[in-house]
Formats: sequence, C-alpha cells, structure tokens
Amino acid sequence: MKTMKTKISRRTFIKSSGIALALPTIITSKALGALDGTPPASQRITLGGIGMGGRGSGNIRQLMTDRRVQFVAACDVKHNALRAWKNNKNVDTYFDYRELVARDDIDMIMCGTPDHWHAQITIDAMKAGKDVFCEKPLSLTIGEGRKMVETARTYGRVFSCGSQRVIGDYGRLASAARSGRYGKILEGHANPGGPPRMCYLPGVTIPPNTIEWDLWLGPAPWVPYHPYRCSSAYGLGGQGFRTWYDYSGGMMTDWGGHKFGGATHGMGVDHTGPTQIKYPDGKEYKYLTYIFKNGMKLIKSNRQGYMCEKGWAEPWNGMPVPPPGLRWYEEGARSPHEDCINCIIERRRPFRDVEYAHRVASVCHLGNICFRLKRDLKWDPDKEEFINDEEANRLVDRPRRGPWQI
Amino acid sequence: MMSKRIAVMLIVCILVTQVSFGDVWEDIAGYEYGDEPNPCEQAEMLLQETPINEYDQVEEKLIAVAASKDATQAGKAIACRFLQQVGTERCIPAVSGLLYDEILSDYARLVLERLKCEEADKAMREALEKTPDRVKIGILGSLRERRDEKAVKSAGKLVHSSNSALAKAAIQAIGKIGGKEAAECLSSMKPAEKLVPIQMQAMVECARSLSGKDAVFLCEKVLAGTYSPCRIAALRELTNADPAQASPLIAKAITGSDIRLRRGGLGIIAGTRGERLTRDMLDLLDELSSDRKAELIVALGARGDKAALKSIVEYISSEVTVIRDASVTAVSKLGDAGVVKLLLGTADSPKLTASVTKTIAGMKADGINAVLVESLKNKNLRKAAIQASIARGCTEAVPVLLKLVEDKDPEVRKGAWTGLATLADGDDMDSIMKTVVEIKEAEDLSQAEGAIRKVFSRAENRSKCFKVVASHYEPASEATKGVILDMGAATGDSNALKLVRDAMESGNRKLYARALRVLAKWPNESAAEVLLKQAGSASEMVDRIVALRGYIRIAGMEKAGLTGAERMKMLKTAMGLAKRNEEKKAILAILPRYPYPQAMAIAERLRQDRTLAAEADAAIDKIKQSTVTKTIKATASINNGNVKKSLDGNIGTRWDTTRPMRPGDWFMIDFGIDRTVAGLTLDAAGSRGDYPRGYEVYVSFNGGSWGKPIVSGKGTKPLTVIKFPRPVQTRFIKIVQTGSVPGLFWSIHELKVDLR
Repeated sequence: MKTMKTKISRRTFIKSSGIALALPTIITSKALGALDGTPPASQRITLGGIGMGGRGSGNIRQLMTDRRVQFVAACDVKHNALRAWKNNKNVDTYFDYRELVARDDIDMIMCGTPDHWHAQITIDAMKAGKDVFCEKPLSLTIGEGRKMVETARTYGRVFSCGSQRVIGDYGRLASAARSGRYGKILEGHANPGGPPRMCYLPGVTIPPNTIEWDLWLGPAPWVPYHPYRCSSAYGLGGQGFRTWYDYSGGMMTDWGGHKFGGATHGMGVDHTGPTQIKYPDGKEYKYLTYIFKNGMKLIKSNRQGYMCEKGWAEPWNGMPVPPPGLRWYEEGARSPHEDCINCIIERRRPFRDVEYAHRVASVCHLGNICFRLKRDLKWDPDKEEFINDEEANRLVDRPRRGPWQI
Repeated sequence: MMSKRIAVMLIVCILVTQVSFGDVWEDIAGYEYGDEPNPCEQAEMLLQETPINEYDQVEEKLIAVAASKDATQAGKAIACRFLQQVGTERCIPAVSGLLYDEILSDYARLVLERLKCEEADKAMREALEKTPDRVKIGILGSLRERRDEKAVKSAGKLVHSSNSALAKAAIQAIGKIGGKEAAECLSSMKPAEKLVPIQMQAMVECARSLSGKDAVFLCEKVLAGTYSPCRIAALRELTNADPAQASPLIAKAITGSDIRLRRGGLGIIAGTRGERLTRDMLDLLDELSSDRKAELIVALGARGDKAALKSIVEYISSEVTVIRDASVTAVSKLGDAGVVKLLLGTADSPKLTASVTKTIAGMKADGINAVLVESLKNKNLRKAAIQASIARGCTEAVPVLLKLVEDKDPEVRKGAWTGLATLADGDDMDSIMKTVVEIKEAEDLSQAEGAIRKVFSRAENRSKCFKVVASHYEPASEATKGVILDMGAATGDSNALKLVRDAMESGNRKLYARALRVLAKWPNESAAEVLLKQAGSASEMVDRIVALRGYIRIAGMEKAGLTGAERMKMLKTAMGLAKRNEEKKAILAILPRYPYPQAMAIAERLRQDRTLAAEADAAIDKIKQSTVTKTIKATASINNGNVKKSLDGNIGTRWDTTRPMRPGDWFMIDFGIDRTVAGLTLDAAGSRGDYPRGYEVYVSFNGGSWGKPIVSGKGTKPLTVIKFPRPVQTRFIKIVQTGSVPGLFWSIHELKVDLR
C-alpha cells in the first residue's frame, strides 16, 4: 500500500544524470558533491526510515545531519506519522515496510517501530542487503536477538543499535570505574524499570484513516484494536505499547538498553551474559541480581554506578581518552548515529554492534523472565538457554503470527 | 487446642484456594476482551503462586477450555497463552484442533511450537495438508523454527503454489530446516521469478547447516545468480568452507563497480579470519587505485591479522591523504609497541604528526606507554612523542616532561607544559612549582601558570595541594603570586586565608588589589570580617565596592555556615555601607531566599527609595510568598509523607498518589492563620500526564466544615491554573480530584497560592 508520490531515488537520479548533464541547471551542487564536504549523490548513503513516530523521526533528523546520508523514504502504519513527509518531493512514503525494503536504491534503514517489529523488519532489510540503525531495545525475545546477530553476520551487514546513553550519559562513570582508581569492579548497579504485563483491553472501532491495524500487530498475536495498545504514551501506565507483553519488554528493556547497557559496558561483560539470575528475596538478594561467570554482579537497585574494591566510582573528567580496554566509539564518532555511518562506509562493526545490543537486551529479557516465574534461574550464556529448566526455556523465544517469520 | 485451630484454618485456606482455582480457570472459557472482573489477571497471579508439580491440574482445566465448544474465541486464545507455559503432550489433541481456525491457529502454535515432543510436529504436519493457505503459512513458520526435517517433503509440494506468500513461506521453511534433502529440493526447484531472491536466501541459510562440498555447491549456485545481498552472504559462507576458492572472487568483488558487492567483499575481509586471505589481499594492494587501496587497507586493519602490519605501516607517509588516513586507522588497530618509534619517526610535518598521534592514541596493545616515555628522551622523536603522550593520557610521561620544560627548544618546552597541564596531578605539584619559580621567560611563565591552574583544579585534596603551592609563594614572581592567591579562593581554608591576608598587608598595591578580589570570591564566610573592614576603610573607592560586593555575596551564600539572624545582620550592615543602587539591588535579590521579618523590614526600607521601588516591590512579593509557603501545613488522602515536596520550591520533586488517580483523592493546605486567596496553581509539568482530570476546591476556617465547592473544573494540561470567582478569606483549602485516567498518578510538583 504505497502512497502516491513522485519517486526520485538515487538510482533513477544517477540514471537520469546523463541526460541531466546536458541541462546543468537542474542539478544542484549538493547532488554532485558540494564544496562544503557533501559527497556526490552516487556516494551518499540512501536511508529509509521505518517507524516514523517521535523516536524514529528523532533518529532520522540526527542521521540527516550527516552530509553523507540522503533520506529518501519513510514508512509507518500510523497515517499521522507520515503526514509531515507527504509534501516532501524527495521522500516516498509507505504503510508497508516490505515495499520500502524491496527498493534496490536504499542502502540503509532506520527502524524506530515498537519493539515487536524490530527483528522482523531488520532481518528482512539485512537479507535485502541493507545496513541497519535500530532503536533500542533491540528485540522482544532472546531468540529474536540471536537471529538478528546471525543475519547481520551471514549477510555482512552493519547493524548499530541506538542506545546513545551508554557512552553519552554513563560513559564517564564507566571510565572512572575502569580507571584503576577504585580497584576492581565488584558490582554494577542500574534501575531501568519494571517488566510489561498482559493486555486485556476491549476492542473498539478503528477510527478511519488512522492506522493499519493488522500491520501494526504484525508478528504479535491477533487482538482487537484499542488505542492504548498501540499508542506511544510512555511508561507502564497502561496507555501505550510499552506496557504490554506482546509488544514490548516494558521499561525493563526500554531503559535497560541504556542503563544495563551502560553498566555492563563498564563492567566489561557486554559481550556475554550472566550465569545466574537471582529473584529478589528481601534477604541476601534484596534486588534482582545477575551474577556473571567472573563473579561480578549486576544489581537492579536504585542507583546507576559501580561498587568497586575501594568504594563507589564517581564520574570524573580526569582522562583525556577512555581508559585502555574500555570499548568506545572509534574514529572520533560522537554518537551512535555518526558511528553507524562511519562503520557503513568502512565496513566495520559499530560500538553498539548487534551482538552487544543483543547481549544487553538479553539481560533485560532474563530479568523479565525471572520476574514472570518469580524464582531464581540458571543461564548458559554460550548456548543461550536456561539450564535444566524447560519452563523458562519456553520463554526464550515466541512463536510468531503468520506470515511473519524470521 | 491451638494446633487444632491452626489445622482448621489451614483446611479452610486450602478449600478456598481450590474453589478460587477452579472458578478462575473455568471463567476463562467465557471471557471476552475488556471483561471486568477479569479472570485472566487472577489466573496469572494464581499461576505465579502455583508450584510446577501442580501444573498438571492447571493444564487439565485449560485443555477443557481449549476443547470446549462453548468457550469464546478470546477464552481459547487466553487458554493457549497459559498452555504455552504449563502445557505438555497431553494438551496436543485439544490445541491442534484449534490449528484449523484462522485466528486461533496462531494461538495454538504458541503452544505447539515450544513443546519439546515429536507429537507437536506431527500435529502441525497433518494440519498443513488440510488448512487454508493463511494458516499453512503460519504452520510452515513453526515447522521451520522446529527444524522438522520430515516437513521438507510437505513444504516442497507448496513451493510452486499460485499463492506467492505460501510459496515463499515454504521455500523459507525448507532453507531454515536445512540438511541434504532440503539442499536438493532448493537447488532443483524453479520458483516464480519474484521468488528467486527468496530461493537464494534459503540456499544461503541451508548452506550454513551443511559443510564441505555440499555447502560449496549451494554457495556456487547463489554466486552464479545476480542477487547481490545473497551473493555477498554466499561469498562469506564460501570463505569459511573453501578460502582458496573464495579469494579471487573477493578480489573481484572489491575491485568491481557494484558498490554493494564491493562493500560486502570488504566486510568479509574485515570480518573473517585466515592467513590465506590476508596474503592474497596484500598482494592485491599495489594494483589498486588510491580509493580502492584505502578501502582495502581499512578492511585489513579491521581484520586484525598482524601479518598485514608491516606492509600497511609503509603507507603512513603516503602523499595521498585517503591512503594515509586509511593506514592510520589500520595501524591503530593492528599496531603494537614495536611500531611506535617507527611511527614517531615519520611525523615530520604537522599533518603527519596529527596522523601519528591519532594512530598511537588509538592503539590498544601493551607496552606502548613505556615506548613513548623512552621516545621522549630521544631528540628526534620527542616532539611527536609529547603529542602522542597527551593524546593517549600517558601519565608515566610526567617525570620526563618535568625535565623537558627546561629544554633549549621553546617548542619542546611549550609541548612539555601542555603535557603537564593534561597529565600531571596534585602529587606532582611540588616538582612543578620548583620549576615555575625559576622561570624567567614571560611566555614560559604564562604556559606554566596555565599548567599549575589545571593541575590544581584536578587535585583530589585541594588543601594539601595548596599547602605545597603556598610553600613556593615567597620566591615566586608577582604574576605567579597572583595565580597562587587565586588558588586560595578555590581552597577556602585557614592557610589560604592567612596567605591572602598577608598579601593584602604586604604593602604591594598590585598584590593588595589581587588579594582583595580573591577574597570577594571566597567560598565561605571566613572572609566576611576582612571584607567588611575593607568595605568601610579601603582607601580607593573601587576597592571599597569590590569588598562590599564580596561581603553581600557571602551573606547570601546558601552553603555559608550562617544563621538567619547573622545573615540579616550582615545585609543590614551592608545596606548601611551601600552608596550605589547596584549594591542595594544585590541585597534585594538575596532577601526573598531568607523570608525573615528583618528581610521584609530591609526591603520596606529600600522601597522608600523611588529608584529602587520596582525591585523592592518584587522582593516584597516574593518574601510574602516564601513566608506563606514555608509556614503552610499540608496533608493528603494518600502519600502524606511526601506532601512537603509540593511546597519546597523545587519542581524536580513532587507529591503524588503513588497509584493511578481516583475520584476522591484530596490534598489540603492549612495556612495557620486566615488569609485572602484568589486562586491556586497546580504544577505537574515534571510528570506531564499527572494533572488532575477534574477538581473541586473547598475552603474552611476550621478544617471541618467545608460546605459546597467554591470552584470546580477539569484539568487539561500539566499546569492547572484555578482562579476563584472572587478572593476568599480562609485558613484551610482542600482540593478534591474528581476525574480518573488509567495508569496515571495525580502529581503536584509545586503548589502556588495566589495571595491577596
């Protein structure tokens, strides 16, 4: 279902430029590569945005500040979200992401949809040869995340997740904790928020020209429409998709991408997962606690930081560069967006590479599973399965509604 | 007797539990979305408390719902959700019956897909034969997830279906299931043209499940096609299965004109391992154009094979910018301590120094700092080594830098001071100061002063660091003395104060002026006495003004250890000394923060001066508001412990209902005495959705008789401004929340009272 729009893609532009050269007045300096450093159109990375709500549009705006990027297509199942782009002649609009992904002239997609769509859209895009910038949280389940990693590797795609706060907000804390001043890190602390819950809202009539409901549901089980299921209202207050189990991991994954992401980055365990997850018992484990193979603990307490051998690490500005061994954006990138573009050009893995994003999302999912089953869990981070725990293993992934398979 | 009573209670509890157990699960059968009370929520809670060894009882109830003819569609869907957690082989007959329903088949698969038993596969394979296309697609997805090899044959029959979505699902399923039978099926099929990319994807997927010749066969098939994304994936699989065969194909990809294939090839170089490919790619370097060469160098760097280092280092001094930049990137990833001197040696121009510095800063190998320190001692390498040490944060360089600040070469001295400013800490201060007091050159002194300021600002223990600095005060130049005095203000302890006072009494006019300005910025009240004296007796008018401003500043400083009375006394004294409006306005700006009666008196007095009337009126209003807010007592129907947070002048804190707002929630204030009020503002901007959806405002003189609301209305935005029909005299005001909204609290970040 494509909206009516004149399509001026990079490829058609290049094809037509042979004719256009005879009529130089219609080619802008920007299209050919301007003196301000803008590369010519043929070398720019063409970008399509899928999920153009608040955060998706924010990502697009930030990616568009990079002169190496040209935004050419926008997709959303909510009609309102596309309204801003409908009068832009250089941007095509779609309700169905498959039409955007099928375009041969798009190099990269930004996925800013609700969580339950991330895996489907990004995997389809990668199989179609697109690189990906995906908003956090990476996935709805641990199983989805692993498939995203595998697809990125098989198809040689660059995949960056969008947790800008890992360095932006918590990088100084990680630098301090890893500076050696405080001794070895013993515990990482963070509090992303709570898990989602099941949604039992009644069905109501869909207002005309507002949403493509079946497409919004996508891989999630079919249920009748209610605006509070699909609204982007923030938090766990029952008015937006982040509250509901079918579409989101709740605040646990939404802020977990940032807060657990920051904590595990500093702890140097963001390439793996915990081996034990302790359900809070009010005694030895006052809070949900993850224990890693090296003995370090990640605790969902009320603060963000690191308890080290010599006390709590405090953020500081003492180091001109992050301490050796602490991963960081490379080549002077200042945000995950810039890092992603650099990596697409240089074909290397970004700071928030899909594997790291998957590991952090997994920590959040493990917490949600622990809260759901209300008991301690043992996890094998290499095989990515619970040890001798069939009940918990059933929650590692979820069956998907046809035809949405990954 | 006691134990008998406990036993009876236990039996009652068990019975109650069993009754509610049965009811809840049975109620699910009649459930429709939106029903209240909701049996599903109760069932969720019940299941969380049910031990695993009792799941069979729950399963039995849920099977009954799934198999029931009378159960609603929503009820059956919910039963499947629970069976996903508790279901066993026992539930398969009931659940597989739902596979034939277009909506419920997806729910049935929630259970069957995650069940570890062959019966589940069998049930889905059987359904695949008889269900509508849309359902078939879903079932194929589940069989694919379960990698059911027996399903390849059934799926194979569907790959030429006229329904392209079904054919696509079948091809995808075969690819994911993998194995030799799947490989044969995929390579022999001739799907519709638009499904060829899907066939290619499936072949790549299938190749991953195979090894050796079987995998190579499929990869070659894909590579013979034209679909770039899959060709890249196949090339990658081929690199793993047969590197010798893959190498020339990768070379072709990265030198070709297809930008996608080129990027894909570079990605394979960066992301795979093996000596063969590294060697082949290095051999290729010389034949490439600058742009292609740069791309390959970066990819080889990302590949991480140190065998490439020697060749790539040579490109650091390339005249071509893209190649030089690429080699910097690559060497920073591959390089170790062994190449540091080599790199520093090439830094003979500002451009190259910048490249080398960036390279060394990014290197992660061990022993690099030690080589940098060694290089600082080498005349030919030291300039670049200083830059690299700074960029790398190499604190081990500090002792050598302390010697280099006395080097004959001014450029080295400058670099060394910059290095110390960045890398030294408080413990190095004594050594730095010994050098500083000996400096004769003005330019060096300026750099040294910059360095000591930066080092001092980073010192963990400033008092200790200041002591060290102060011990070098006497021999220091006048300018350096000024810098030391500035540090005193950042320290604020008694030693620092003594040094500053001594400077004022030194008889040196310049030092006196500097010291006075340092005192005016003093961080605590200990400087007040000296400032007051100077404000009254300094010989120069400008000095008296500086001193008075410093004195007023301290009087208003929140962290100063002053009582309210002391502050008021200071402000009153300051007012007596103030001759100009600027200082009087400074006093007026402080008064509302300390709403004592004396503050009001001072403001009233200043109000008599016409030129200050506007500022004085504003101060008086603020004092009144602060006085009221500070004396208000508040209570609420819920979360009483946090009511003060709505009156603390801080919009970052709040009172809230700790649960979604309900009609009847109330918030009450008591002024202590009767006051005239014209309205209220409830500020919930900090929690944007938490404004009251409806409100009624009551007033009372005794907190008991409220009468009818004097105003009522609806909140529509974060700031709820309530205007009374006319100003009313009252002691108590009660705001009753009358609306409701699911999931949102009622919060008041700040309550403002419009007093008359």
